[in-house]
Amino acid sequence: MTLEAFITNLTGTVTEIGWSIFILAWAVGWALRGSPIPIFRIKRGGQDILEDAIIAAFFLAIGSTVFYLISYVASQV
Amino acid sequence: MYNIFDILYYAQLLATLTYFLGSLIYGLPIPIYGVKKWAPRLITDAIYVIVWNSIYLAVLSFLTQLLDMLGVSWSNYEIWLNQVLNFEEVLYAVLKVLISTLNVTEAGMVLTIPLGQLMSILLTIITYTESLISISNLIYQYVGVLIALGILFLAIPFRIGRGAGGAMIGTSIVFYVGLPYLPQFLDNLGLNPLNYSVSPSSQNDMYSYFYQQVLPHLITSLILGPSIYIFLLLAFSAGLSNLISGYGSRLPLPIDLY
Repeated sequence: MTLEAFITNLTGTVTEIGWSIFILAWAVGWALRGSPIPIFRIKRGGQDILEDAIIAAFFLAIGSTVFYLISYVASQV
Repeated sequence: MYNIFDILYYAQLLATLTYFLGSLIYGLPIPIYGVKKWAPRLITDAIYVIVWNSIYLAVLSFLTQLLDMLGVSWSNYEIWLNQVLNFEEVLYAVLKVLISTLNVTEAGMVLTIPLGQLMSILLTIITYTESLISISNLIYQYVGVLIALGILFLAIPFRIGRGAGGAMIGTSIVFYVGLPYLPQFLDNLGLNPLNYSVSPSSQNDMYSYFYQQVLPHLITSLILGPSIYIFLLLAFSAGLSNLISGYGSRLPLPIDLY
Protein backbone atom coordinates (compact mmCIF):
# COMPACT_ATOMS: atom_id res chain seq x y z
CA MET A 1 0.00 0.00 0.00
CA THR A 2 1.38 3.39 -0.91
CA LEU A 3 1.50 6.22 1.57
CA GLU A 4 -1.02 8.10 -0.52
CA ALA A 5 -3.56 5.24 -0.40
CA PHE A 6 -2.88 4.85 3.31
CA ILE A 7 -3.66 8.51 4.02
CA THR A 8 -6.78 8.40 1.84
CA ASN A 9 -8.02 5.25 3.58
CA LEU A 10 -7.21 6.75 6.96
CA THR A 11 -9.21 9.86 6.10
CA GLY A 12 -12.18 7.71 5.11
CA THR A 13 -11.94 5.69 8.30
CA VAL A 14 -11.63 8.81 10.41
CA THR A 15 -14.73 10.26 8.73
CA GLU A 16 -16.71 7.09 9.42
CA ILE A 17 -15.57 7.05 13.03
CA GLY A 18 -16.46 10.73 13.22
CA TRP A 19 -20.06 10.03 12.20
CA SER A 20 -20.32 7.08 14.60
CA ILE A 21 -18.90 9.23 17.39
CA PHE A 22 -21.50 11.86 16.55
CA ILE A 23 -24.30 9.32 17.00
CA LEU A 24 -22.70 8.08 20.22
CA ALA A 25 -22.29 11.61 21.54
CA TRP A 26 -25.89 12.39 20.54
CA ALA A 27 -27.13 9.40 22.54
CA VAL A 28 -24.88 10.03 25.52
CA GLY A 29 -25.74 13.72 25.53
CA TRP A 30 -29.49 13.17 25.54
CA ALA A 31 -29.14 10.40 28.10
CA LEU A 32 -27.27 12.71 30.46
CA ARG A 33 -29.56 15.63 29.79
CA GLY A 34 -32.69 13.64 30.36
CA SER A 35 -31.38 11.57 33.25
CA PRO A 36 -33.40 11.74 36.44
CA ILE A 37 -30.43 12.93 38.44
CA PRO A 38 -31.04 16.28 40.12
CA ILE A 39 -27.46 17.45 39.70
CA PHE A 40 -27.28 20.45 37.44
CA ARG A 41 -23.66 19.95 36.39
CA ILE A 42 -24.35 16.54 34.89
CA LYS A 43 -27.30 17.84 32.90
CA ARG A 44 -25.26 20.81 31.81
CA GLY A 45 -22.46 18.44 30.74
CA GLY A 46 -24.94 16.50 28.68
CA GLN A 47 -26.01 19.67 26.93
CA ASP A 48 -22.37 20.62 26.23
CA ILE A 49 -21.79 17.21 24.66
CA LEU A 50 -24.89 17.67 22.52
CA GLU A 51 -23.78 21.11 21.34
CA ASP A 52 -20.32 19.82 20.46
CA ALA A 53 -21.84 16.86 18.64
CA ILE A 54 -24.01 19.13 16.52
CA ILE A 55 -21.04 21.33 15.65
CA ALA A 56 -19.00 18.23 14.82
CA ALA A 57 -21.77 16.99 12.50
CA PHE A 58 -21.84 20.40 10.86
CA PHE A 59 -18.08 20.35 10.24
CA LEU A 60 -18.19 16.77 8.99
CA ALA A 61 -20.94 17.55 6.50
CA ILE A 62 -19.39 20.83 5.31
CA GLY A 63 -15.93 19.25 5.14
CA SER A 64 -17.08 16.28 3.09
CA THR A 65 -18.83 18.59 0.63
CA VAL A 66 -15.98 21.08 0.31
CA PHE A 67 -13.22 18.49 0.01
CA TYR A 68 -15.25 16.53 -2.52
CA LEU A 69 -15.78 19.74 -4.51
CA ILE A 70 -12.05 20.55 -4.37
CA SER A 71 -11.04 17.11 -5.61
CA TYR A 72 -13.76 17.23 -8.26
CA VAL A 73 -12.63 20.63 -9.57
CA ALA A 74 -8.98 19.58 -9.41
CA SER A 75 -9.70 16.44 -11.41
CA GLN A 76 -11.55 18.46 -14.06
CA VAL A 77 -8.65 20.87 -14.64
CA MET B 1 13.47 15.32 -8.13
CA TYR B 2 10.27 16.26 -6.34
CA ASN B 3 7.26 17.18 -8.42
CA ILE B 4 5.79 20.35 -6.93
CA PHE B 5 2.20 19.50 -7.71
CA ASP B 6 2.56 16.01 -6.23
CA ILE B 7 3.75 17.63 -3.03
CA LEU B 8 0.79 20.00 -3.03
CA TYR B 9 -1.53 17.05 -3.65
CA TYR B 10 -0.10 15.22 -0.64
CA ALA B 11 -0.47 18.38 1.40
CA GLN B 12 -4.14 18.47 0.38
CA LEU B 13 -4.59 14.82 1.43
CA LEU B 14 -2.96 15.47 4.80
CA ALA B 15 -5.07 18.59 5.28
CA THR B 16 -8.21 16.52 4.65
CA LEU B 17 -7.07 14.01 7.24
CA THR B 18 -6.33 16.82 9.71
CA TYR B 19 -9.75 18.34 9.14
CA PHE B 20 -11.65 15.09 9.74
CA LEU B 21 -9.54 14.29 12.79
CA GLY B 22 -10.55 17.69 14.12
CA SER B 23 -14.24 17.03 13.46
CA LEU B 24 -13.94 13.61 15.10
CA ILE B 25 -12.41 15.12 18.22
CA TYR B 26 -15.15 17.76 18.22
CA GLY B 27 -17.78 15.05 18.43
CA LEU B 28 -16.09 13.04 21.18
CA PRO B 29 -18.37 12.83 24.23
CA ILE B 30 -15.42 13.43 26.55
CA PRO B 31 -15.70 16.78 28.31
CA ILE B 32 -11.95 17.21 28.87
CA TYR B 33 -10.53 20.52 27.68
CA GLY B 34 -7.09 19.03 26.98
CA VAL B 35 -8.61 16.74 24.37
CA LYS B 36 -11.29 19.03 23.06
CA LYS B 37 -9.02 22.01 22.49
CA TRP B 38 -7.44 20.15 19.58
CA ALA B 39 -10.70 20.10 17.61
CA PRO B 40 -10.90 23.77 16.50
CA ARG B 41 -7.11 23.87 16.19
CA LEU B 42 -6.99 20.96 13.78
CA ILE B 43 -9.89 22.31 11.72
CA THR B 44 -8.35 25.78 11.42
CA ASP B 45 -4.94 24.27 10.60
CA ALA B 46 -6.50 22.29 7.76
CA ILE B 47 -8.26 25.36 6.37
CA TYR B 48 -5.03 27.31 6.69
CA VAL B 49 -3.16 24.71 4.64
CA ILE B 50 -5.87 24.73 1.97
CA VAL B 51 -5.53 28.50 1.76
CA TRP B 52 -1.77 28.12 1.27
CA ASN B 53 -2.39 25.44 -1.33
CA SER B 54 -4.68 27.70 -3.31
CA ILE B 55 -2.48 30.78 -3.20
CA TYR B 56 0.74 28.83 -3.95
CA LEU B 57 1.11 30.06 -7.54
CA ALA B 58 0.04 33.56 -6.55
CA VAL B 59 2.81 33.59 -3.91
CA LEU B 60 5.40 32.61 -6.51
CA SER B 61 4.33 35.32 -8.94
CA PHE B 62 4.18 37.82 -6.09
CA LEU B 63 7.82 37.01 -5.32
CA THR B 64 8.85 37.83 -8.90
CA GLN B 65 6.85 41.02 -8.69
CA LEU B 66 8.61 41.96 -5.44
CA LEU B 67 11.96 41.47 -7.18
CA ASP B 68 10.80 43.81 -9.94
CA MET B 69 9.70 46.40 -7.41
CA LEU B 70 13.09 46.26 -5.72
CA GLY B 71 14.66 46.75 -9.14
CA VAL B 72 16.88 43.69 -8.88
CA SER B 73 17.04 40.46 -10.82
CA TRP B 74 18.62 37.08 -10.35
CA SER B 75 20.52 37.23 -13.63
CA ASN B 76 22.24 40.50 -12.63
CA TYR B 77 23.00 39.04 -9.23
CA GLU B 78 24.63 35.99 -10.76
CA ILE B 79 26.68 38.19 -13.09
CA TRP B 80 27.82 40.20 -10.08
CA LEU B 81 28.78 37.06 -8.16
CA ASN B 82 30.80 35.79 -11.11
CA GLN B 83 32.56 39.13 -11.45
CA VAL B 84 33.50 39.06 -7.77
CA LEU B 85 34.80 35.53 -8.11
CA ASN B 86 36.73 36.53 -11.22
CA PHE B 87 38.32 39.43 -9.38
CA GLU B 88 39.40 37.12 -6.57
CA GLU B 89 40.83 34.57 -8.98
CA VAL B 90 42.84 37.23 -10.78
CA LEU B 91 44.22 38.49 -7.48
CA TYR B 92 45.09 34.92 -6.56
CA ALA B 93 46.88 34.33 -9.85
CA VAL B 94 48.86 37.57 -9.54
CA LEU B 95 49.98 36.65 -6.04
CA LYS B 96 50.93 33.16 -7.14
CA VAL B 97 53.06 34.54 -9.96
CA LEU B 98 54.63 37.08 -7.62
CA ILE B 99 55.53 34.41 -5.10
CA SER B 100 57.05 32.10 -7.68
CA THR B 101 59.06 34.96 -9.16
CA LEU B 102 60.36 35.96 -5.76
CA ASN B 103 61.20 32.38 -4.94
CA VAL B 104 63.93 32.32 -7.58
CA THR B 105 66.46 34.11 -5.41
CA GLU B 106 67.17 33.53 -1.73
CA ALA B 107 66.68 37.19 -0.84
CA GLY B 108 63.32 37.10 -2.58
CA MET B 109 62.30 33.98 -0.65
CA VAL B 110 62.42 35.95 2.59
CA LEU B 111 60.02 38.45 1.05
CA THR B 112 57.48 35.72 0.23
CA ILE B 113 56.96 34.74 3.88
CA PRO B 114 54.33 37.45 4.61
CA LEU B 115 52.69 36.73 1.29
CA GLY B 116 51.84 33.22 2.49
CA GLN B 117 49.38 34.63 4.98
CA LEU B 118 47.83 36.80 2.31
CA MET B 119 47.43 33.69 0.19
CA SER B 120 45.55 31.79 2.88
CA ILE B 121 43.24 34.74 3.57
CA LEU B 122 42.56 35.03 -0.12
CA LEU B 123 41.71 31.32 -0.31
CA THR B 124 39.27 31.74 2.58
CA ILE B 125 37.63 34.62 0.76
CA ILE B 126 37.32 32.55 -2.41
CA THR B 127 35.74 29.69 -0.46
CA TYR B 128 33.30 32.13 1.10
CA THR B 129 32.27 33.54 -2.26
CA GLU B 130 31.88 30.03 -3.68
CA SER B 131 29.61 29.12 -0.76
CA LEU B 132 27.56 32.25 -1.43
CA ILE B 133 27.22 31.19 -5.06
CA SER B 134 26.09 27.69 -4.15
CA ILE B 135 23.57 28.94 -1.57
CA SER B 136 22.19 31.37 -4.15
CA ASN B 137 21.89 28.64 -6.78
CA LEU B 138 20.15 26.37 -4.29
CA ILE B 139 17.60 29.04 -3.37
CA TYR B 140 17.07 30.10 -6.98
CA GLN B 141 16.51 26.57 -8.28
CA TYR B 142 14.48 25.12 -5.44
CA VAL B 143 12.38 28.01 -4.13
CA GLY B 144 9.17 26.43 -5.50
CA VAL B 145 9.96 23.00 -4.10
CA LEU B 146 10.96 24.46 -0.73
CA ILE B 147 7.71 26.42 -0.37
CA ALA B 148 5.66 23.37 -1.43
CA LEU B 149 7.53 21.19 1.09
CA GLY B 150 6.84 23.82 3.73
CA ILE B 151 3.11 23.60 2.96
CA LEU B 152 3.33 19.80 3.17
CA PHE B 153 4.95 20.06 6.61
CA LEU B 154 2.29 22.54 7.72
CA ALA B 155 -0.36 19.98 6.76
CA ILE B 156 0.84 17.23 9.10
CA PRO B 157 -1.82 16.67 11.80
CA PHE B 158 -1.37 17.89 15.39
CA ARG B 159 1.03 20.68 14.38
CA ILE B 160 3.98 18.29 14.23
CA GLY B 161 5.60 19.98 11.24
CA ARG B 162 4.28 23.48 11.81
CA GLY B 163 7.58 25.00 12.94
CA ALA B 164 9.57 23.28 10.21
CA GLY B 165 7.03 24.18 7.53
CA GLY B 166 6.84 27.81 8.55
CA ALA B 167 10.63 28.04 8.65
CA MET B 168 10.96 26.56 5.17
CA ILE B 169 8.35 28.86 3.64
CA GLY B 170 9.63 31.96 5.42
CA THR B 171 13.30 31.34 4.71
CA SER B 172 12.81 30.58 1.03
CA ILE B 173 10.60 33.64 0.51
CA VAL B 174 12.99 36.02 2.28
CA PHE B 175 16.12 34.64 0.63
CA TYR B 176 14.57 34.49 -2.82
CA VAL B 177 13.62 38.15 -2.65
CA GLY B 178 16.51 39.33 -0.50
CA LEU B 179 19.63 37.73 -1.95
CA PRO B 180 19.65 39.55 -5.32
CA TYR B 181 19.62 42.83 -3.42
CA LEU B 182 23.05 42.06 -1.90
CA PRO B 183 25.08 44.06 -4.52
CA GLN B 184 22.95 47.16 -3.96
CA PHE B 185 23.20 46.74 -0.20
CA LEU B 186 26.99 46.61 -0.38
CA ASP B 187 26.99 49.53 -2.81
CA ASN B 188 24.99 51.65 -0.39
CA LEU B 189 27.39 50.82 2.41
CA GLY B 190 30.31 51.66 0.14
CA LEU B 191 31.52 48.09 0.42
CA ASN B 192 31.01 46.75 -3.09
CA PRO B 193 34.25 44.91 -3.81
CA LEU B 194 34.02 45.70 -7.52
CA ASN B 195 34.27 49.46 -7.14
CA TYR B 196 36.01 50.27 -3.92
CA SER B 197 38.95 52.61 -3.60
CA VAL B 198 41.68 52.12 -1.07
CA SER B 199 43.60 55.25 -0.30
CA PRO B 200 46.88 55.10 -2.21
CA SER B 201 50.04 54.15 -0.45
CA SER B 202 51.79 57.09 1.15
CA GLN B 203 54.70 55.04 2.35
CA ASN B 204 57.26 52.99 0.57
CA ASP B 205 56.68 49.95 2.71
CA MET B 206 54.55 47.83 0.40
CA TYR B 207 53.91 45.18 3.04
CA SER B 208 52.52 47.41 5.73
CA TYR B 209 50.36 49.13 3.13
CA PHE B 210 48.99 45.78 2.14
CA TYR B 211 48.39 44.59 5.66
CA GLN B 212 46.97 47.83 7.01
CA GLN B 213 44.84 48.94 4.06
CA VAL B 214 44.18 46.36 1.43
CA LEU B 215 43.65 43.21 3.49
CA PRO B 216 41.17 44.69 5.99
CA HIS B 217 39.26 46.14 3.10
CA LEU B 218 39.15 42.79 1.33
CA ILE B 219 37.88 41.07 4.45
CA THR B 220 35.29 43.77 5.14
CA SER B 221 33.85 43.90 1.66
CA LEU B 222 34.06 40.23 0.78
CA ILE B 223 33.30 38.48 4.07
CA LEU B 224 31.86 40.87 6.64
CA GLY B 225 29.53 42.79 4.31
CA PRO B 226 27.78 39.73 2.85
CA SER B 227 27.71 38.11 6.31
CA ILE B 228 25.95 41.11 7.80
CA TYR B 229 23.42 41.00 5.00
CA ILE B 230 22.83 37.25 5.38
CA PHE B 231 22.30 37.64 9.14
CA LEU B 232 19.78 40.38 8.36
CA LEU B 233 17.98 38.04 6.00
CA LEU B 234 18.04 35.27 8.60
CA ALA B 235 16.48 37.59 11.15
CA PHE B 236 13.76 38.51 8.67
CA SER B 237 13.18 34.84 7.88
CA ALA B 238 12.75 34.10 11.57
CA GLY B 239 10.12 36.84 11.77
CA LEU B 240 8.28 35.65 8.69
CA SER B 241 8.44 32.02 9.83
CA ASN B 242 6.90 33.05 13.12
CA LEU B 243 4.17 34.90 11.28
CA ILE B 244 3.42 31.85 9.13
CA SER B 245 3.61 29.16 11.79
CA GLY B 246 2.89 30.98 15.02
CA TYR B 247 -0.23 32.33 16.63
CA GLY B 248 -0.36 35.15 14.14
CA SER B 249 -1.65 32.66 11.62
CA ARG B 250 -5.11 32.26 13.13
CA LEU B 251 -7.88 32.50 10.60
CA PRO B 252 -10.49 35.21 10.96
CA LEU B 253 -13.18 32.57 11.34
CA PRO B 254 -15.15 32.02 14.55
CA ILE B 255 -14.40 28.31 14.78
CA ASP B 256 -12.91 28.50 18.24
CA LEU B 257 -16.06 28.25 20.33
CA TYR B 258 -14.64 27.87 23.82
